[in-house]
Amino acid sequence: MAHFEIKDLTFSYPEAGKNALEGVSLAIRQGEYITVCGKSGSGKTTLMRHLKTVLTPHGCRTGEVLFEGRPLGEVSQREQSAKIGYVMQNPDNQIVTDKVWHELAFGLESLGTDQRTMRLRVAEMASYFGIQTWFHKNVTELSGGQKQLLNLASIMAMQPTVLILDEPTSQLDPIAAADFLNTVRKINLELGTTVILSEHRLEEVFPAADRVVVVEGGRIIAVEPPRAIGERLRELKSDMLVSLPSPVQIYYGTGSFLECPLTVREGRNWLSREMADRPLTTVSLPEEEAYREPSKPALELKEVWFRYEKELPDVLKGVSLKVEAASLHGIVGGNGTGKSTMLKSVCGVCKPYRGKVFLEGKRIEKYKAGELFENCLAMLPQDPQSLFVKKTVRADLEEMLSGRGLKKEEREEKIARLAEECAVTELLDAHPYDLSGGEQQRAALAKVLLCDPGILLLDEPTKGIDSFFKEKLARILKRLNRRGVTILMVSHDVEFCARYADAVSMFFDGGVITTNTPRRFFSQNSFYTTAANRMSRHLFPDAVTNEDVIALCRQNSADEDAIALRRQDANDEKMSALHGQNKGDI
Amino acid sequence: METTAKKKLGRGIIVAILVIVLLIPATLYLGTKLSGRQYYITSLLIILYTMLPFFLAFEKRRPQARDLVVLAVMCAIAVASRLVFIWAPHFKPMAAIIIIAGVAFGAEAGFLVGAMSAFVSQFFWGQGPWTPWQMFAFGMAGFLAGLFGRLGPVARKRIPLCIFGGLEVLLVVGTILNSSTLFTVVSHITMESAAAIYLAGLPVDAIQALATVLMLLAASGPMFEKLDRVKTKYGVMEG
Amino acid sequence: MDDVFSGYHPAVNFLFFIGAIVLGMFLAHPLFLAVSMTSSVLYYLLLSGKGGLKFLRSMVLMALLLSLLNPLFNTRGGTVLFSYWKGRPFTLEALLYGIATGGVFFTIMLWFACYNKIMTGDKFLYLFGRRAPALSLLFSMVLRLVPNFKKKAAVIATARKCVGRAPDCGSSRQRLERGVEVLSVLTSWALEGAVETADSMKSRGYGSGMRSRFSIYRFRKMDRIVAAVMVLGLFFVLGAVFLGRAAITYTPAVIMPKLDWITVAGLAGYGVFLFLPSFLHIWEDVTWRILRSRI
Repeated sequence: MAHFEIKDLTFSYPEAGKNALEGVSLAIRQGEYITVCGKSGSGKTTLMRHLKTVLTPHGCRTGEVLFEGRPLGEVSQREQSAKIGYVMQNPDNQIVTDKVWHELAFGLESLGTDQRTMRLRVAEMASYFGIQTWFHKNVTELSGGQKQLLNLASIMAMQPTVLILDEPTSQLDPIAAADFLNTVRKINLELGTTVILSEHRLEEVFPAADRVVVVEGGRIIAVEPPRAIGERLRELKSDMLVSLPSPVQIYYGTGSFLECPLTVREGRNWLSREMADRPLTTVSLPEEEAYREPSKPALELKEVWFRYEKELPDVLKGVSLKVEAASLHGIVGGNGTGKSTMLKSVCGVCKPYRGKVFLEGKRIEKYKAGELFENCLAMLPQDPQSLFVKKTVRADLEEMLSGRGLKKEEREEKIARLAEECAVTELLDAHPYDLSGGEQQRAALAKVLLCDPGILLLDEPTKGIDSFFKEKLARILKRLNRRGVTILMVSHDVEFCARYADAVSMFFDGGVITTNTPRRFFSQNSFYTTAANRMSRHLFPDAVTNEDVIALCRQNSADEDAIALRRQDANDEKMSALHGQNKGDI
Repeated sequence: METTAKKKLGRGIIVAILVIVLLIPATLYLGTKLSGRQYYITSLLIILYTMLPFFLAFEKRRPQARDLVVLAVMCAIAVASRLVFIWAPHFKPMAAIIIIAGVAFGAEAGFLVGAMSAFVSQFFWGQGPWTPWQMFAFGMAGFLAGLFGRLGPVARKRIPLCIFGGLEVLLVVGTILNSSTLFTVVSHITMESAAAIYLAGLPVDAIQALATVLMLLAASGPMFEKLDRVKTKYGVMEG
Repeated sequence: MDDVFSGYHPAVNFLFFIGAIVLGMFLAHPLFLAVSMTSSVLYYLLLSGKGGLKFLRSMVLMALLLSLLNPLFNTRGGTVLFSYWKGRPFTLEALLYGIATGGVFFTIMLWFACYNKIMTGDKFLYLFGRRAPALSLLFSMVLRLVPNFKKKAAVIATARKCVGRAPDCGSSRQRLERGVEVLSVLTSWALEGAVETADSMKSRGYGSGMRSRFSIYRFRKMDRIVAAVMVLGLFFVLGAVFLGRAAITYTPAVIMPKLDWITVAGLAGYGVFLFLPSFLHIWEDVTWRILRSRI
């Protein structure tokens, strides 16, 4: 009997033109690890919410969902609460109470569990998740990753048989995200809990998954094991291929016949085998100009020191940085190294106690209070929602122009132009909170751009948005660069920086350690670099993006005979693989 | 939906009136028998009686998760709002937020938001003998705002709302809080000592009332808009 | 908090504070008042260290002010010290009464200050949440949200500042408007988050039936012993109170009850009760030092 069975489910939201889900059918076995992927707005969340009655959205619905063989509606709320665990995106909003220990017990309290059982379960969970050290803390003192682990632990305390996770790591930094996903995998392996997880970043999830479900436009377009999903997507000519993990993308980009790699390790081995009998004629990309410090930087920090309070330690310890005009400069580095503080010191929110900040060659103190943020500098905050005040995106944009002495037509013209530039024209009359993460990001960007900044600061612009929105964002940023806008961006997103930045700096322990072009920068690093670089560096030391690796593979292509032979081998191998197991690391 | 909310509230009011009519005179009578701190203790008992029915009604209602979170958000905003205006030390927008919550969600919710905000803010700024009075004063502010809100759309218009808010803070909240000072610090209540305390409190109350009026003037529009959005989109606080 | 007493069961904590505050409010007898004042000062200083001196000083000033102001409004009493403003008398009895009131105010304020340090929100919740599950949950939620909103308000203010709308500069009118904007953004954000919190609550079974309560507190042997000592102390104080040894009238004339062994027993009981937390605090300090010196 399937653990969950969705039978021909069709659903539409009230007053919506088209169906959010259409004819979805899927059977999930006990103990399976299912990954759901799809663009934002494809209906992933709607689908997953149908797996728990209290979360099911209102609307018009046909078809049914069976849980352990019974229609979900007939399973009592109590039983569903205990057996079906549901983790949502935002770590903060899911927490109800003020103490860690109380939050751990929240679900058990709702189920009316007696004190002795609760003590035992809470103790078990705290030990399993390593929560003992912060058991007595207030939840406000926790980091985002700890909060999300707490949410998971609080659900696991009820001993669910299935765990549904809707983009649980989108708000976390990469290290916390990997940590969280490892815990989920551990639960799946050690307790046999069924896992249904949706994610944008598939690197960590792919190797763990038994099957990948791809949702597009409210339909399930493919359900395959991770090694086969790429093949299926290629057959369907789906653009979802670009959101798969780097090894998979490179594999399909080169048109290899060997088995599809899922992890960097597999990718590395695969690449070695793939290139084994080819003469490696070209191992590096065309020589690139060395990075030179700009002589006339648009933005410059000179030995900037800062601390939040007199008694506290320094956060910025002599930061020096030059950003070339009309370029996209990325800053990468771990959590809590002071990257965001540096941005704040640039826009004058944090006043350095030593050192200088120059904007367009002029010291920041020389700018008058109003002058700085008009036509000069603007920052897009990490959380774009911090900027939305009004009912519609249009009203929000208009708010920025009020009191500037512009005529109505001028204002409208300007808003229309920037909305076009940021691709939010269709969203102008929507409520800002009804937009998806990526759309909110762009609307906020349009709002910030209304200040006509020459220098734009971005704090984690790719947090929680999928690869399509990232691409769209990159196009907008590049267009701004061409218009002469200088962009300084702080990001955890190594792949994004590698692909789109003009220069990348490493930030560590309150200072900039090194700055270089992305290719030189990432090929020098061995940990802090892209997956593509890590899997190919033994052959192509300076390939940084997926495209680099694919291009180099193509350039070293083998002759026709070798390819024919390889195809034959691959077929044999596939046949034997069908008998053996086809999951996990080779 | 609206009517059921009103009915429930009606029962609460009846209990409250019964308490006021029966228990309070009894307490007052007993109070005269006490010596020493009779003022403080009798008044304390009276406000506790008055608050109890509201709390009981809330418990009996078995509030939904959505009602609880919205109330919690309103309380927390009322408490934290003070920090947004940290540059103006005496500018406390708490009363204005409570009044907005009362008008938007009704008398019962208004009372709870007021009393709970006052109570919680004591945990951040320090408890004292005044805590129950603060709860009572702000609870009343929310409650009366809820009754005022029943006048319909007029209550949401800026001018009537500001007049109501200013008067309420000056006359209701100010008076209750001044009384608490009177009961706590004055050894022997006479006409003169009472007059002195109330007069001394007047400037502070006036500033509070002004702050409330300004806040209502500037914030009531957008706040109602936002509360209504949640109400219609997610069906919060519907009985 | 490294205070020993705060590690005791919340019920024991609460018993102490309710006793100290209620008795402190009623007992204006100079000897009883003196016991309460010294014990509250001692415990407050043990809890807050040197940082508490500022508060202590301001409370002394308030108490002095009250002592001097009260006789202005209370003219009863036989011993006129001096007259002022159309012959209004300033009497010794009223002054003494004023001083007693100031003392009561002082000790109550200090006990409340200690209460704030010991009786945290979760202890309060534990004691009173049983009867009011919805209210106590609401309380706990607000306690979580307030610090959250503080942080978020700062984030929003920074974000607004970086697009040239700093809420802390400009004319008063602009500041008010921009402050309201911050509040408005905060409200939207908070309400949107609240919907998700509600989902998370329902998803974890809230409202699916009777709730039980989890607590991390246990009533241990030491709690029993301390509670017993407190009750014993209270027994003696209340005995003295009901036998009229703690009652006092200041105006129109000072009438002290007689001093005898019952008064002494009452005072001793009061002392044992009020000094107990300080004693535990100091005792632990001393044992620690001895233990450490032996290592």
